Amino acid sequence: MGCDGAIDSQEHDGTRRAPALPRLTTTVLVVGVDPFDASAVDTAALSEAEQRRLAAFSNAHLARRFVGQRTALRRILGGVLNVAPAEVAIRRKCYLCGHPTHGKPYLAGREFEFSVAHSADRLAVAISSRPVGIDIEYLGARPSQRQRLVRAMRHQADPEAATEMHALQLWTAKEAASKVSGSGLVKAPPRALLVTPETAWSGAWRRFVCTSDLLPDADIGGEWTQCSPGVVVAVAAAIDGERPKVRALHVPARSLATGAWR
Amino acid sequence: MTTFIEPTPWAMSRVWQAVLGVEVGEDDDFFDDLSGDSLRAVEIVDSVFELFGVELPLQRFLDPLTPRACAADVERRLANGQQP
Repeated sequence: MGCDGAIDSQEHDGTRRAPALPRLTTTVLVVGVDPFDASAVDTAALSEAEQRRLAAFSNAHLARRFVGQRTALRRILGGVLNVAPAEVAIRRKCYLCGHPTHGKPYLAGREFEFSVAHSADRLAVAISSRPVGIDIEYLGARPSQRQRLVRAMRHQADPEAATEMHALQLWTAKEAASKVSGSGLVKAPPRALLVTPETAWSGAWRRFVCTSDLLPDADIGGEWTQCSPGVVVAVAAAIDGERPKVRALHVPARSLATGAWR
Repeated sequence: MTTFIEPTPWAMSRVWQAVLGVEVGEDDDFFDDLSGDSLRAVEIVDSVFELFGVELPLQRFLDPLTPRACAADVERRLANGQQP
């Protein structure tokens, strides 16, 4: 069940250098994408499908943000695969219906697993040797908006969340966990996912486990951290023996063009 | 006493605009055109309940959804008896 990658093996040209990803390491990159930084956007790096989606935007700011985020993602994946950003073959497959136009993205050939999330002008990417999910969320600056969001998150997910930051952490952890299989919150509503923080920290990252009857993986382990004021990022993977070690990088979008982040 | 406004596509696009902070057309898709995310969906669900007295399932936002379709959904739920 889910995205088994059956359609992609024939699309792998076999000429790429195998990426030297350490086993049991999950790399998390958080990129601030400034849509008006010309060095951070490269329309030519986009696929045909992304070009079509770009042409459909009516809002110029959102269109530039889309290009900036796709440019950053393609530069990151291209840097690991050692191919040009435009050559990164990103496929999709829906967890529920198997359709290739939506659902969790994966790489043709599956050299490694990745997950991507964005929130306003921030992009978060997780790269791992095993299926991985990532989410990034922010509460917003306006107090009225923050109050509304926290009330809504408590109603939809965790009535007992003590503080607004706790509510945000739980929400982000759940969304990351739901993205490991690609089911997303469609199949696993946030109220049906139980996130339990562990006492152990891993550096600045707080560990958690997520359990639910609705997820294909029995137990999912992850970590969350506050990557900047009011912004939480969470990464999750199925617990299968040892947990992947999280290596986190904050990267300016313009440095991605040179591959210097590696 | 709370008063509820009529769930027209225009009114719904104003609700979305207030949450997303960008101009919203009545036929813009929440994810594809407006780059919405799950928390913004939660916020819209909350706003819709406050303004129209109808609680939309969060999952409604995970399929393609426009203000026009969202307004029609609220209208339908009101007609089916989910009263404010």
